Amino acid sequence: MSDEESGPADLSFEDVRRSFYYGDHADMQFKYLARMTDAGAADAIAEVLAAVGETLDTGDLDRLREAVYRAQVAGYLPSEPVAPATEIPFTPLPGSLASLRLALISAGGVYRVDDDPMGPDGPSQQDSLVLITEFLRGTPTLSTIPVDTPNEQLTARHPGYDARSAQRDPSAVFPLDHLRDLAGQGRVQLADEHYGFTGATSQRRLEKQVAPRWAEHMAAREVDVVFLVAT
Amino acid sequence: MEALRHRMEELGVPRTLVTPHLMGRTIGPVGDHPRQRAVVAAALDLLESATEPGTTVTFDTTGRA
Repeated sequence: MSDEESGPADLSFEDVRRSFYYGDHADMQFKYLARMTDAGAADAIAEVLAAVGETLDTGDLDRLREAVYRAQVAGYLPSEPVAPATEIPFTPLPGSLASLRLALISAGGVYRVDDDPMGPDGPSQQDSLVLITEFLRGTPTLSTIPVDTPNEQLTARHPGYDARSAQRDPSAVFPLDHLRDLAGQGRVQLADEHYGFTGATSQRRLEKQVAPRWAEHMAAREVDVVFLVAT
Repeated sequence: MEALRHRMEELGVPRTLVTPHLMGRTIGPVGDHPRQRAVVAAALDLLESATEPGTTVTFDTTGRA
C-alpha cells in the first residue's frame, strides 16, 4: 500500500491523541495528549521518541524521564489562568514536630492486599479504567493501613493514573516505610493507622460528606497532623 | 507534582511541597528510595517551617527543599 492510500480505519492525529484518554489506546501515563493541541502533542511525542532512541544507546534513563516529565508538565498546563484560592485554611503546629502524631493519607488508591475496598474480586488496575465514570460518581472508601504494614502487603488501583507504578513500589505514593524510619530517629511520631483512598471520586461527596467524617475519625485517634499525598 | 501545581493553588492547600516527579510517583521514582526519603524529610521540614497559609515549596533535586 502506498503512503497516500487510506481506508475507513485510518485515524487522524487528533483521533490518535484523544484515544489515549480512555479510548482504544488508553494510557494513564499519556492521557494528557488528548487535551493538547496537535502541534503541542507532536512536539511532545517527538521529544519523547528522540529520548527513547538516545536511551537505547546510552542507557541514560534520566534523559528519558526528563523528556516524559516535560511533556507531562506541558500537557497539564491549564488552558485558562487559574484563580488561586483566596481563603486558605491554616493551623499552626501545636508543638514540636517530634511531639506530634502524624497520619499518612494517599489519594493514590493504596490498600492492603487482603483488604480490597472493592471486595475480593475487585477489578485490576487495567480493568478499572472502564469504570472511570462510576468512580467519579461514587463515594470514596477510606482504607485503613496499620502503621507496621510492610510494602509487600500493599497494592494500589486507581482509574485516573497508572497505579502499576505504586504496585511495583508503594512508597512512590505511600511512603509509610520512610516515615517509620524518620519516626525511629525521633523526627515525628506516627499514628497507629494510616490511610488510602481513590482520588478519582465524586469531589462533592468527598468534600461535603466524607472528608469531615474522616477528620473526626482521625481526631478521635489523636492524630495531630496529616501528610496527604496527591496523585 | 509540578504538573498539578495549579490545582493546588486553586484548592488552597495549607502547605504544599511540589515535587519534580511524574504522576503516579509523587514521592519519587519507583525504587529510588534515597530520593523518596529526601522528599518525605522535606515535607516534614515544610510542615515545621511554614508560618503562612498557602506556603508552597518546590523540592530541590539536590535533596533539600
